Amino acid sequence: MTGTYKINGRPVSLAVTQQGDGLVVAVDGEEIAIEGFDIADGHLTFRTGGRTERAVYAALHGHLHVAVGGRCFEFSPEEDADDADGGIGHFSPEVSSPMPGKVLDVLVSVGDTVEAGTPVVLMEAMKMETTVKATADARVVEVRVEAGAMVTPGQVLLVLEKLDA
Amino acid sequence: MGGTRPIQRLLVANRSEIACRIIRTARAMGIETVAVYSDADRLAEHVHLADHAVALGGLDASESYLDVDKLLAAAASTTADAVHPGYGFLAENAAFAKRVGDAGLTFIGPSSECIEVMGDKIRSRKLAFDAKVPVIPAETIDGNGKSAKAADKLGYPVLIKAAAGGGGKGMRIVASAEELASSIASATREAESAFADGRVYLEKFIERPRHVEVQVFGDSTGRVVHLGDRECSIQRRHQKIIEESPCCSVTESVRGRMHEAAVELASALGYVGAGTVEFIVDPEENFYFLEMNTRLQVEHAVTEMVTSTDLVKWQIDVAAGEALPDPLPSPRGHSIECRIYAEDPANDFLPTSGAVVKVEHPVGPGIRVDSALRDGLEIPVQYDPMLAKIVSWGPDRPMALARMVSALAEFSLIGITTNLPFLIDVLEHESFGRGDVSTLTVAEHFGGWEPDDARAGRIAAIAAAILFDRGRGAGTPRAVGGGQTVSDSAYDPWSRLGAWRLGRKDGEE
Repeated sequence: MTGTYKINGRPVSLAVTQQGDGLVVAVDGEEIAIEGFDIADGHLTFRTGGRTERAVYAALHGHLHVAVGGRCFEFSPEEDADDADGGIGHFSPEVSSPMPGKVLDVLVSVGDTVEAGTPVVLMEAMKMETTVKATADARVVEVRVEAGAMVTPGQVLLVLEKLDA
Repeated sequence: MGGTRPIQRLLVANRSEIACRIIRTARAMGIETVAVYSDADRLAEHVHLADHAVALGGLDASESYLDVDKLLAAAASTTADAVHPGYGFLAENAAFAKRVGDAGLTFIGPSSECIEVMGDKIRSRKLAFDAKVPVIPAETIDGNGKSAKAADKLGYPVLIKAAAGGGGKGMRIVASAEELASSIASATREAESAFADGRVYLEKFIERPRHVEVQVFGDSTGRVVHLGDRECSIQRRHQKIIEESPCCSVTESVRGRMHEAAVELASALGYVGAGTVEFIVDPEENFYFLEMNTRLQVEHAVTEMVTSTDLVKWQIDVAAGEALPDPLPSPRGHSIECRIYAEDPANDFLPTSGAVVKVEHPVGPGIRVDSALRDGLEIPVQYDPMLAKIVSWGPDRPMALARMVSALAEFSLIGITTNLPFLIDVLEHESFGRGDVSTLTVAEHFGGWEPDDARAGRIAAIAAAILFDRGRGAGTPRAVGGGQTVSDSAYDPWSRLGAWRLGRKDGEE
């Protein structure tokens, strides 16, 4: 088996080959000899380098979730990846909600110009207030929520248009 | 006062882990239980656990767990004779306690008068001051002009606090005069939304403070006792995430004086029931009264672990008119609690949401789990994001700590981003190991924290490769080599494949 996946959104290539009595797993080309493994009831245990490692897993909506040492990792097929988000330093015109919650106040209107770091939306979730800030010097071209609206994480609150330097 | 009045059917006016925890004690005491639930909690664990359950309807707390009329109607319809408020929601609402009493029911908590005095930070400070318990310099504010003067008098940085406050809601640290007005406005809004009381005041900000509290208990004979102290300095967003008992950071003489002060204050109030007196301790070990919580605390479990008590049972006994046990149990060993929150520590600890895909709680010697999680449970966004508490006990602090780290590493919670990796990193930090903690620990050592996933991620990647290879993963990977492609249909989480399998070929099952 060879395939490319996303692990918590980052690409990783995984390969498994049979070698003699054991398996060899390659993670991004690094080969790891697996001396034995066992899969049962959402648990995977394997031995490598004389150590036993344990993972708990579940599959949901086409994604594989693996928990190791109190940490969770989500594996998804690579073509599933959401590349629209943009990386660091990449301007995204959409200001979206960082959390589920309620919009307390929209602090800007269409046509306003904002600087990077200007508070644009005041939100509340689980009784905690949070300020959503503009990510770049920009002009507000669209406001998609109003005070009192319940929003989900990632929901677009405002659309900005970057001001040319 | 008067004689004892046994409780037969208890309505638990709360949800999640604390409702479950109270129900379990009541059951062990032979008391029937009534759960209440909002529309968001129809499938919640406490609803299944109780003997009876009443739908309150509504999603927001204001139309469910905070709706006094609905709660009293639920008690009446199930002929409950007592109400336990848990913590949060109406636990420190004097009007609720009074209405419960007026309805002829026993309120499991102190009198509404005690709740009222201690619920008002300004009145409680005065009471502490009169009882000769040290208090932090503070100024009340009415108008904006006055607040600037008050802040100047205290000297920056100042702390804005809600008069009706608690849990860090409506609290702001203000570094300079320019931020004062906007911070007061935002704190007032938050306080109004959380407590329906927007009054705020200013307090001198203590640098590198520690947060230490004393568990007190009073009974209707007038006896007030303490059950030791708790260190609660590890906080984020002004909310505790790790607590321990006993406090590891004060000398024995200071500890003794804090215990005395706490008992003195509760006695001055004529306090009956479980309460917690919170102190701020500065680096020179001066301690100041912060507030008194007139209810069971989230972190009461660490006290239970070191004193081998069930404080909910004590609450119920005392409310029924019984006297506190004499002699008191003597504390033994050390206990630590970690609060597991649905939040992203790498994103300013903002709440996260989702459903529990799979949960496996830790077990082991000295490990207690207070949780209402189970597979498939949706975490409602309407309420506090705390999911569960893990509590460890050990004969000494290093053992309690080692057991906790091991337990957290064994806590598998799939489907929701939580603070678990963050908690492990805090516990493993050398400053925590030394007991060198303050309310600034998180900011000082963990600013810009990112999970260090290198080792765990490598193990997970190996695990995923094996699972995909054996058709246990989900989804269809893009085959890039001559390898075999796995399809969705091969996923079967319930298959058992027997013991160690060595040298099997693909497809040979």
